[in-house]
Parts: sequence; structure tokens; C-alpha cells
Amino acid sequence: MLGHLARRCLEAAATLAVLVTLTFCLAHLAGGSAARSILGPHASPEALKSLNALLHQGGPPGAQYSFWWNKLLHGDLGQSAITNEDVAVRIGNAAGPTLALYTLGLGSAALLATALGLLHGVFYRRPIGRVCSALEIALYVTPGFFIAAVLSLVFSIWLPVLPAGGAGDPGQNAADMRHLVLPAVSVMLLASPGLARVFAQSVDAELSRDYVRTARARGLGWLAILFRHVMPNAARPLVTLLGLSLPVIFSGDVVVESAFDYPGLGRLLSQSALGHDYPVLLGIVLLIGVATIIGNLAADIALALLDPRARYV
Amino acid sequence: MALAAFLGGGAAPCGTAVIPNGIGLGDPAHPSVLNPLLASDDQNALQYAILLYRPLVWVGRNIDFDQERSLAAAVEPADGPFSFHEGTAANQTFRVTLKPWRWSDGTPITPDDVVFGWELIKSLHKSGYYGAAGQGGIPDRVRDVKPEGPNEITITLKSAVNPDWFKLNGLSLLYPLPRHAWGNISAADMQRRRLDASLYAVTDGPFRLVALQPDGAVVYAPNPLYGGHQAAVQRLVVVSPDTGDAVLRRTEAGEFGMARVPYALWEGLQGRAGFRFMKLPQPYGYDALMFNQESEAAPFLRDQTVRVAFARAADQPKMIRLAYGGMGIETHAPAPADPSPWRSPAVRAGSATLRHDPDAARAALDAAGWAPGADGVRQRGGVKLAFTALTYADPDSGESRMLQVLQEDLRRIGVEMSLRPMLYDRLMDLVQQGGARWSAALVPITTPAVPDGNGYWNRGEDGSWGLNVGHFNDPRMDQLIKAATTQPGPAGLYDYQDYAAAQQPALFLPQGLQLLMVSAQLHGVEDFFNAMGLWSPEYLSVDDPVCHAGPPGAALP
Repeated sequence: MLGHLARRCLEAAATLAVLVTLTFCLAHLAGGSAARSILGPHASPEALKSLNALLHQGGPPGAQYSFWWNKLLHGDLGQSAITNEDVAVRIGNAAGPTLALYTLGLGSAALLATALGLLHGVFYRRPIGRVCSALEIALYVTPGFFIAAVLSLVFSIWLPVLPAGGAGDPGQNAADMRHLVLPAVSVMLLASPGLARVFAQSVDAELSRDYVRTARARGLGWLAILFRHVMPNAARPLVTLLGLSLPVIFSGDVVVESAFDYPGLGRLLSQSALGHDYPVLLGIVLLIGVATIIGNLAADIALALLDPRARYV
Repeated sequence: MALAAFLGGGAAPCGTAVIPNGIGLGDPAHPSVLNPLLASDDQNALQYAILLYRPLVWVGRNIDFDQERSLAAAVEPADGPFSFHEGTAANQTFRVTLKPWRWSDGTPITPDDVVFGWELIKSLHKSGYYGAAGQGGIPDRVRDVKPEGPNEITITLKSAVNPDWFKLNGLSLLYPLPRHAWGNISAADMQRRRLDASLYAVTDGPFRLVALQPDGAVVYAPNPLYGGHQAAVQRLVVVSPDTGDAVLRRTEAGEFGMARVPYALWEGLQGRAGFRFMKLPQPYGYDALMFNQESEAAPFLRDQTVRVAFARAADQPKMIRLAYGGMGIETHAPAPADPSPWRSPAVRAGSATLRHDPDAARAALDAAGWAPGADGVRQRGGVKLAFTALTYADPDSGESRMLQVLQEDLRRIGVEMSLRPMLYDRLMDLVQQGGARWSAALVPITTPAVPDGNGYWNRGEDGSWGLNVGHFNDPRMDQLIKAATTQPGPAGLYDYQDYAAAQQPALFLPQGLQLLMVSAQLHGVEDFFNAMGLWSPEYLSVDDPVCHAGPPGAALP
């Protein structure tokens, strides 16, 4: 067990190192620098060079790479090249809104997917099942920005009951639950169709298994069979998918957050990439990597709890 | 309680105006600096900084000296009187009289604060952090800045200059800064602390800083000790959404006070209840398709005949119609459109030799030996009239549509232009450092108040190219630009413009007007803007039915 854990940790560290290195290389291949974002569009090459040196972005890429790793190994993610704020603080400020949004959004998606998937799975080959399938596909192919735009149009402009963007009212440094609703509904509508479809197929497969037939023959009620036996077995792939979705809770979704001007990690990721704020960009990528690893681990553990046959090897 | 908080929590205080950054310029940008000297060349950044600190000279809506909003009560050339139209003498010495204004902590603003600002510019320039270096002769053409008495400063230049040019282009970059608060901070620390709110506690502008929020919003409150027009709003919030779409949507929802309207939506939005619609001049500048004189792939760009043929092929009225909904002004010279008293009479009248005339363009290319090939693309001596133009523009932007029109127009005269989009930063890096690796690039040019062309179309006396990324090397142009900045009156400026129009070092392209949707509750918007994109939000007021009036700046967190 300990050996397995140690091996998983080493694999995780190697994965993170590769992820960060790839991000660093891709970001530098794209060109540009934070100095231009700060000094303005007409900055001379000399001015850019000077400021880049101050920001540790001016030297050879290898030197910048080593500088960043050196700081990281000392527990320091560095400072934002644009705002000079500690990267950890900057990410922390954005992480809160993202956690709130995606916990609510993905939690709602899980509930909706369970309900829709169950309905779809039970009536898989019947008209009701086909309607569910059509609904899932329709939601699946609808782009996120379109969903966001329609929700804003209906609930912020036509029926002005909910705000169109932000995490709180402008100028108020406090989150406001009303601002969470539309983005969370967007996340729910985007995440649920895939989950529902997988769950539906799994429910359908379980319903045709021998143990269900045996339970019916023994006189067990239909609902008892469904909720006590079928659902726990059918939930395994759903749990795996939810575990793989865990990184989204930390990384955010660029499309939804940009569409709603929501100050989360997805938006920060986009801003850092476009503004060449490499320390923040690498910090977020590191966070996504860690979250992915934790998500996989959590999914493995949940699976083991759901299915005693699963071996933790 | 939770439900009440859910339904109504967090409402903005009464009298709050919420304005997106970038209005009057372009897309919003997140705050990156609040020191006006560090923001000197970035108009988006200046919009945040200029609310806290005022320059000696504020360039007004008619691109003139706005005495009311300037810190200077008067600017007099010490070598003799002058006026724009009479143009009596170039001047080397200027006397600036300060208004008896105070910093927000009550300390008087003194000539020594102006000297401190000047010292900081020199220090930033020496360290390489001063983005506006060269504009208006700042700092290299200034010999010294000396206090003379309790409220006067004498600025001596190294040589005589056009006084209008220095007053508007140079003195608008000079800011008194609080020596008593910042005297011990180095230029490098200023750069490091550029968004440190604690650094900006002492201001002289119409607003003081309340908060810098993690989501990028900057919250201001009126500065009760500001010597100019007192702000009527209780609070001002400048926000910076990532996209223009988000700005428009949140304005429609009533969360922001105004938004830019895309050209495609202008007609459809007219008549929306609760809003009024305004047209502003385009940002003070123009778009230019810069030609790289050192391009190996397109050596024909060095040929004036070819460049002028391109200009004659470009159907600017059609560009304006298709890209900007008919709301734009033709541009054939490096001179921003109105409002600008700085356009030469010939430029203002429109150039007959540069108007859309594809037949004349074809004839000129035929005469120069460029014959159409089998594929329709002209060639001469094995060289095809084909090149790639770099562009930063979003595919659905007005600039992109404009370039697509240009592509068609050039194709009709046998020239093949392909477009290569890339991020703006990457484009600027490439053109500034790329040598011969690029041929043409779309570059937006914002000019100072007096559009002298310095740094764009000339080579510096020290041999530097500045922003002349195409390396247009013409001694006559250098001489005319120098004359525009050294000779009194507008003659030198006009000569340079007319020559640049004839030479077409770049293809000058039109910009569209700025279209705004403004909340009916927001007033004073006409006084809020100027063509340079600088704001005066102290003239804004908000109709707020639940607002309980209080003295400006009082009782705000």
C-alpha cells in the first residue's frame, strides 16, 4: 500500500513537472511580454527590455525557467508580472469565486444528471427515453457562450431579476448570491448532458442484469430495486466522470466566466495568458495539475467504496 | 435574512456611476498602474491614473489648452508672445503659473512638486520605464525645470521649439507629484508598487482612491480638496470586463452606465427605453498599414509609385460603409480627423490624387512596368506584387472587415495581399524586432495632440527608429518633422502632413466613430469625454431615486 502510494506520488510529481514545462514552453513560443502590457503599445524595444529584466522575463527562456522552479522549490510562486501581487494571493482571490460557482454548478449538474439519466435509463427504448436523449444531445451541442447569452437576455434584460455579470455589485467587494445563479445554471446545463447520458446507459445495462431479474422474482418492489441495487452499481461511471470533473472546480471555465465577467480562475487564466503574466499562468496550471491528481485519487477511492471488488492496485 | 441577503444584498451606494475602462478608446483593459508617469503611453492605463493626478496642461475637447481642467493657470513662452495663427516666434523658455490647488491631505501643490515629477520622469527614462519618451520633447529636449517663486516654474529647452507643440504635447506629460509623500521612493520601487493602493493616498485630481478590487474594479470617491470642478457622484467605479460583449450586456441590464455599441447592433438598439445613444469621434489617431521598407519578400514597398497606387485602389468610402456602418471619416494622411485644428488645409479638403480611382492605380502600375501575370497578379522582373499583411484585429471587428475590403480592392488592380492574424503583442514584437521578416502590418496609431509624426515616419537624430517600424528613411521627411516641432505656427506641421500624404509611407486607413449607449440616469456625458480618450468624470451625475444626498466624499468606506 505504502509502496503504491509512493509510486503514485512520484508519478504525480513527474506529471506536474511535464505539465508546467509544456505550459512554459508554449507560453514563450507565443511571444510577447508583460512589459508591453504595462508600458503601453508604443513602448520602445529598449524600455521593454529594461522592464522585462526587472520582471525576470528578459533573459533566456532557460534562465527564466530555472528562476521559476527555484522559487517554487522554496515554496514561492512569485509575483504577478502585471500587478506585482503575490501569485498565491492573486490565485486565492480568484479561487474563492470559482469554488463557489463550480461547487454549486457541478453539484446541480450531478443532481440533474442523476434525475435525467435515471429517467432516460429506465425508459431507454421508449418514447420518454428518446425525448430525454434528444434533450441531452441538444444541451451537449449548445455552445457555452450561447447558453450564457440566452440566460442573460432572459433573466437580466427581459425579466430583470438577476444580474448579468460579476460576482457582486460593481464596487462592492463582497460576493452576492444572486450573481452566482446564472453562471451556475450555465455550468449545470453544460455539464449535465454528458453525465446524464453515461448514467442512462449504465442504468439501462444494469436493468438487464440477472440480479435485477432475480430481485423481481423474489418480489422486491420496483423502486427498491432501482434505488437500492441498480443505482449504486450504475453510479460507478458517473463517479469516475465526476472525479475527472474535479479539476474544473479549481480551474474554472474560461467561456462561462468570461461570458458572465465572473472573477474566477478561468477568467484569470485567460487574462494571464493574454497579458503574458507567466508567474500567474504557471501557478494556475500547477493548481489544475494538482487538482486533477487529487480528482483521480478521489474517484479511485469512491469507486472502491462503491464496489468492494475494486482493488486499490 | 439569508433570503433578504440573497435578493437584495450588496446594492451599490447611492450616486454611484459605474463606467467601463476603454470608453472613448477601444476595448477595456485591466488596471496595471495608477501612476500617470508610468501609464504615460498607455491610454487605457491613463484613464485610471488621470482621475487621481492632473497634468500641468489638460488637452481639451477641441485639442487645445483646457485652462479649467489644467493645473497650470497659464503657460507663457518667455521669449515673446505667440499665437497659433500668428506664429511669431519659436521659444526656448516657458513660464508656467500654477493654480493655488492642494493635495488631498491639504498640503499646497508647489513648483517643487512639478520639479519632483520632472525628476521622476528623468529617472524612469534612465531606467527604461518611461513609455512616452520622445513625445513633446520629453525628456530629452528639456534642459531644466526650475521653480521660480511660490507658484511659477520656468522650463528651459535645449533649443527653440514650436510653442503650441511643446505646450500641448510636452506639458501635458508633466505632472506635479507629491514629493512629501513619494520623495523617498525610487523609480524601480514605483514600478514594483504600481498597483499598491497605499502608494496613492495623496492625490490632486478630482477623485481619491477607495479600493482596488480583486476582480479588477477600481473604486474612487470625490476628492473634497480638488481645486477644479467638484465631482457630483458619490462614488465612481471603473470596471474592466474582458470583452465588449460583457460590457454591453451588463449595461443593458442596468449594471453599468455606458457601453460601446458594435456597428452591427447600432440600428437595432436605437429607441431602447431607458438609454440614449451618442456618436463620439474616433479615438485620436488613425489606423495605418505600415510598409516595411526592408522587406525581402516585398521590395516593391520601397517604391512610392506602388504605395500611391495602393492608396488609389483603396475604396475608403466602401470600407467605412461596410466596416463602420457608414460612420467614419476618410484618412489619407497621418492626421487624425476632426475635432482637430491640426490638419493641413490640403488634408482637410481631401486629396484629389489619393481618392479612390482604381483606373489611375492600374495605369500607374502599368507605366511602372508591373504587368498582370497569368494568375492576374502583376509582376516585374520575376517579382510578384504579392505580400502578407499582419493584423491583430479580431475577425469580426471593423478593422478586419476594412482589411477584407482592401484585399478585394487590391486584387482588382492585380495585387495580392494575404492576411495573417496574430495577437497584438506578438505583432508589435515582430515588427519592432523583425528586420526583414515582415512586409506589412496593421498598426493603430494614437497621436499626441499636435500630430507631429515624430517617431513614426522619421529617423531620430541619434539614428534611432523609434516607432518607425517600417524604417521609412527619407531625409526630407526627417527635416519636415523637425520643422513641425521647431518652427512656430502650423506651417511646418502642414508641410509635413502634405508630404507624408504624397509619400504614403504607410497606407493610412480610416477609423470608425465610437458609438455609445448611455443610461438615461447618467448625465454630463458630453463633458466627460475628450477626443484624446481622457476622462473628466467629475462632470458626471447620476439620477438615483433612492439616493440621499450628502457632501461629496463623506461617509464612504
